[in-house]
Amino acid sequence: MVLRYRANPRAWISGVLWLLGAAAFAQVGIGVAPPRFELVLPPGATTTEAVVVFSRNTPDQRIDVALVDWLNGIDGALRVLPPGTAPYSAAGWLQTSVDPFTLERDGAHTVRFTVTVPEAAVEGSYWTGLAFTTAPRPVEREGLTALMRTRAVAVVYVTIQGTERPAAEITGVAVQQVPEKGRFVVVDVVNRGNVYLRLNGELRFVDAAGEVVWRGPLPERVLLRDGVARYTLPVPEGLPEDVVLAAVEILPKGPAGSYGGPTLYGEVSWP
Amino acid sequence: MKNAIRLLVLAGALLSVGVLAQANQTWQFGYPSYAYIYTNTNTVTFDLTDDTTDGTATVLSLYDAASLSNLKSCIDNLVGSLSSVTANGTPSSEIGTCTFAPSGVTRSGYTVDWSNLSDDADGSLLIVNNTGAYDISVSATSLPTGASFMVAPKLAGAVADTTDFVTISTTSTFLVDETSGYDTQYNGVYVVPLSFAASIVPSTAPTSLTSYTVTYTVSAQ
Repeated sequence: MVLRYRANPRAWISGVLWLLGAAAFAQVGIGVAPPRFELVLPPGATTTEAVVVFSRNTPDQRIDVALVDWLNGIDGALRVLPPGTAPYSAAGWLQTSVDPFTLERDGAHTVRFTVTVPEAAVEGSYWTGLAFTTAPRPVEREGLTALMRTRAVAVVYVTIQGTERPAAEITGVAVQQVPEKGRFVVVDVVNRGNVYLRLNGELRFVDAAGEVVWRGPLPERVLLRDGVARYTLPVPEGLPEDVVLAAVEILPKGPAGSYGGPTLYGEVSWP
Repeated sequence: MKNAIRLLVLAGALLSVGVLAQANQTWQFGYPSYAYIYTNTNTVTFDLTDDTTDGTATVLSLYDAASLSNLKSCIDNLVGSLSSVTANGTPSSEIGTCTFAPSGVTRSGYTVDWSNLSDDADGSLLIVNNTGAYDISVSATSLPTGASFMVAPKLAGAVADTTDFVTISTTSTFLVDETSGYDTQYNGVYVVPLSFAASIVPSTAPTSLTSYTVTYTVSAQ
């Protein structure tokens, strides 16, 4: 068995085992398949989709269902919001049953939903989500007690066919020193278009001769409409002394893998 | 009699195979794409009414475990650090907070043995995902007054200072993404250690059950 701490690839450590605990009465887990829907529809269109809610290695669970809005922060984290409260919300276009249900051990439950796009006055991308949450298990004891539960969100994007206008821009590349944490390359990307973009790319360090002496992939990020994505990339240890440049190259992709605009490039002198 | 023994041996062997099969069950799902989140951590308790631990003993080394004696010690330190005492006394809410590791954690189901890492965690999250990018956020329902609850996505010994902790609020807060945590031997299966702490205003230290719900949310945007 091998576990690897992804933030520090050098810290590969072997010999960690999974154990099956003796008590299996209260653990909570939930999954969704697929975890996202990337719908591209013309105005006035209607489609019905299905998401499977499933579990593994858990007892029977009560699952609460909620239609939600969401945004992602500058760090990329999904923030769940009440439906209809986020800009470009598609919550009002989606119809489904939000009745709670029981998910049996190792079971699966299909939830269908229908999306209807308005006839007019829409362009670009909108989004919403279906949240499935396990119920906490009450306990009786003294003190301050946190009850744990898990939630899986099936993300639903709806892009109005023929209105896509992808555009993104790197607005800043900087080197930041964080006390006791080390140095980071910080990259800000802003969405100037009307669709969400999926960003992938690479960080490179270049020496005085123009040779790339280190390269590593950027974590995939979703850049929502009107959104800002900030990469805070740890500087690898052991860079050569003659590095003069840190550069990022980002390839945006549009809805459902479509064209997302030209490749983005940014750099900062080093050190 | 011999046949009965053989039957028992055979039954035992079959049972063992069954248990092994369950223990070795992989976390692969028969869907084209999926995102799954699982926690073996059921409850995390900070009990300031006595000195006995409840359930799994805390492993966090940055703070003392929540207990009556540690609460008294913390209050003594806070009061002792005041430069003067007013005639009316200083409201205890103004003398500071006391931060503790849990006094008890209940876990069940799949558990990670961190022993080869020479460290341990209060609990863990398991993420199973075949879409590449994922993110985990954490939030809570109505939190008790005078207390804040924190979690660090690290092994206890790796928690160096307060900046390692995420303070849990009613708004979803980023915890980890696919660049954090540990890979496992299973493709697309990741584990995140969880270490907990709570800061408490001494005058509001709970003397009875005060529970609230913490939610870990997975998405693959």
